[in-house]
Amino acid sequence: MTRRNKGLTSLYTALFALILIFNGCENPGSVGDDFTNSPVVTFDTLEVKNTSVLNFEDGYSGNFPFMAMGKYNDQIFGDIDATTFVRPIRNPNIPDSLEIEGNNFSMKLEVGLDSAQTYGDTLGTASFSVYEITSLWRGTSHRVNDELDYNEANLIGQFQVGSEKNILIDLADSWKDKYASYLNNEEDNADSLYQYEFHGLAIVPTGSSGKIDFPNASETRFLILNEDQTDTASVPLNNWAYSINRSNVPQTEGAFPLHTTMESAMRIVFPTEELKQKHSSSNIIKSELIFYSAEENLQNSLPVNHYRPNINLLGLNQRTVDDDVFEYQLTDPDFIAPIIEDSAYFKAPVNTFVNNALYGEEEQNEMIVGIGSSSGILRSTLIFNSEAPSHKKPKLIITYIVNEEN
Amino acid sequence: MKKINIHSFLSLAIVISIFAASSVFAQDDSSSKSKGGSFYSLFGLGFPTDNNTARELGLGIPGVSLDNSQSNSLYNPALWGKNVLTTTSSGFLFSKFNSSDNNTANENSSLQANYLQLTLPIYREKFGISASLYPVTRSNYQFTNTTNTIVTPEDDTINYRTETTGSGGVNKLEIGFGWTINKNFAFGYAPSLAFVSQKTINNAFFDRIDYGNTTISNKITGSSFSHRFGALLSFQNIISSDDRITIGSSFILPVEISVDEKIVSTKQVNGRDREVTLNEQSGLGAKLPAEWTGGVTYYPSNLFNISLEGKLQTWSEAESSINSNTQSLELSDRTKLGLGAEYHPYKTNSTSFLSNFRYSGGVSFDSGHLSFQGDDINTLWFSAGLGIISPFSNSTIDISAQYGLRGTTSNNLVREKIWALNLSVNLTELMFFRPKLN
Repeated sequence: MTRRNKGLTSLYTALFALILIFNGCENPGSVGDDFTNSPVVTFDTLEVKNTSVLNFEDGYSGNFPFMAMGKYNDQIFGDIDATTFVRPIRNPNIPDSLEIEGNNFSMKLEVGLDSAQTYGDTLGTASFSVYEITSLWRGTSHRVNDELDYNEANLIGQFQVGSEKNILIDLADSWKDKYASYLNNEEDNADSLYQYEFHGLAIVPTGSSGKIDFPNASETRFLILNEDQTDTASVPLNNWAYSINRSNVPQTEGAFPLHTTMESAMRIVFPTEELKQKHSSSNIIKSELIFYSAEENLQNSLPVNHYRPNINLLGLNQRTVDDDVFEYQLTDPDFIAPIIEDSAYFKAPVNTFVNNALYGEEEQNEMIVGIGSSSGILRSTLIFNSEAPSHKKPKLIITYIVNEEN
Repeated sequence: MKKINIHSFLSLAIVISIFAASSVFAQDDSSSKSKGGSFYSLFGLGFPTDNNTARELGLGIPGVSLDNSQSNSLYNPALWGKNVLTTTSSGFLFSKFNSSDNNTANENSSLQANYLQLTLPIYREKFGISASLYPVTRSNYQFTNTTNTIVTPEDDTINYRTETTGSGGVNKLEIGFGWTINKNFAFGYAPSLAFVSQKTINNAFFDRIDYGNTTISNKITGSSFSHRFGALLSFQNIISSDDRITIGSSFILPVEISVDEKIVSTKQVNGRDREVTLNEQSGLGAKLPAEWTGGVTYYPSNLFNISLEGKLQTWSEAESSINSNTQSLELSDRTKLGLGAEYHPYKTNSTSFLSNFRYSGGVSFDSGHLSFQGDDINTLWFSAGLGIISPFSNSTIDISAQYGLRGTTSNNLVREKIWALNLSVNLTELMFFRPKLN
């Protein structure tokens, strides 16, 4: 290589090195931010101006994890009378060691209560009578307002519930004998006969009991005891449900009650038109629906030692017309509004709905706000509606970015 | 066919690597290696770009009077009529910006392809045509806002930071001709399509996951026709028997461009990410100023030349109805004056290694096109250049280094110290044969 070529090659090498050095330096910063339009996060609050109450009296209440039994006069949510219905399976697994033949056995009902939740007077005692149900019913289709017939002339059992969480109830031989006839029936149509003729027991609150307990379906069962009562066989539940009779419900001004049974829910009209007018051109980064609970009313209405199962979230569903109760109570809600800890409001992120309304084909603007649940625990809350004072009304908070001029 | 030598190969390698790295004339940062440029390119249609070859930049002048029949020049269409060879050339710019105001400092760097030009001598040293693509203004910035804190209506405290990046600008696609009418006078005309393609991206980053991150893009597009004229006067034997002087001038008519502005963001709509238009405006006005460039170059001998050139752009009459970022700074007329000299030892018969190159140096003052409360955002440039001449053809590689001081920190404005490395590659006869017509 000539001297000249060597020199040129060195130059090319240096050039490549300079390219790499220049291209590698980068430390962007905020120099000159006094002269630029700084993007600023801004909030806008749109009131939900149209709300109404919806009463779904036929919410589902059968074959849930929990049942409800008892009476409680809630100053906010009315007088509640909850009756539980249970029916044993026909062909339990009875070990030979019990030596059961015909009806030489006795039966008990074991009720396991939810250890955490009691609705009402936590120190009180509740009394119950057990009767045989005389009307046809089915757990999966049972509704909270279904009224089952039961034979009050023939008391099958009775018991009281204090602070204990597990109760054993002796059942009358008359009912046991009737069950035994189906248990021992080996005809082909035994199941069918059992289905249509044997309806189980109703646990009916009596007296002026001041609390509602929640039997756990997985811990509630019938027991078959041998003649000497030295050995038992478990008879799981075949169907279980409860019905609610709610009366004397006071009206709270500016608020609607919400129940897990869907006896009451709130319908809101989403402020879509105002949203389109004000924010079609906004760079929206967050949209939230806020609902305030009437916490003061809820707290002040509970006497000492009384407890009301609380709720942690609301469910929002877009309005539907087909099987609406099923949709609102038992399916996953379209939007969830968790409670904000230590605050008396619920917040639902609804950005997708807002995007669909502004840029998509979303035409539906009605939402149902409820606390539908398939747990069976009775929970209620009081949510401020559009008639509430301005700072408590449901509202849509839009968070967006604007370029603020210096 | 001539044998391709090692230097031609390396030249091509540099060109290809830089083209690949900078995605030639890419209009947005998504496809460009350019990261950040001048803070002042944030304003208006971007910062005016000087599309000079590295040779001209080494001299610190536009090059309107720099007569050279063996290489390209963009600035004066009249020069295209003097070309001897078919020539293609391209320029690249590597810049590093150290910016500071009264509070903070930051550092940006950028890599840009400047221009691409092809000239064909239809009638040797009489009539030539040129086709070129080059930027007129360039937005190229990356800007981070300091962390902000807001309190939500529910008394939540949220911190966020925003980042703004800009890219694109005004470019021209130009086809023109140069005609050497006689030995003293040449004339040129170049119509072009001026098109705007500018994009500003704002990102916001939050310290809360439920806020996510958001991006909004502002796209500006539009086009119009532009016209450029050039003239060159050449005189020989002025003082001595082998000296000469060239006086050049070019003029660009002002351009009004009707632009469309579209603000878009990506949102999840009906379960899918979709780009939605937040705002759209059509028929907005953008203006490019009239530009006059003039200068004189004196050649005492074929080894040395000295140039004095100036440029005036009437930016004060180029208010646009787009890009509100300009509101805090005003557009003002831009004047640029440059003085430079060049030495050509490669034309001697010396065998010294240092005699294989062309050397240049210069200084220029640019009053800038922006001002704030009477303070012009001016730039003082010092430059030096080196020309590498192919021993086998007339192809050249020119390298120039520039150091510039731009702006001021008074009024909390931004002062930039700029290092720029320019490279232009001028290929003749390597890939193009002389037309048989000649």
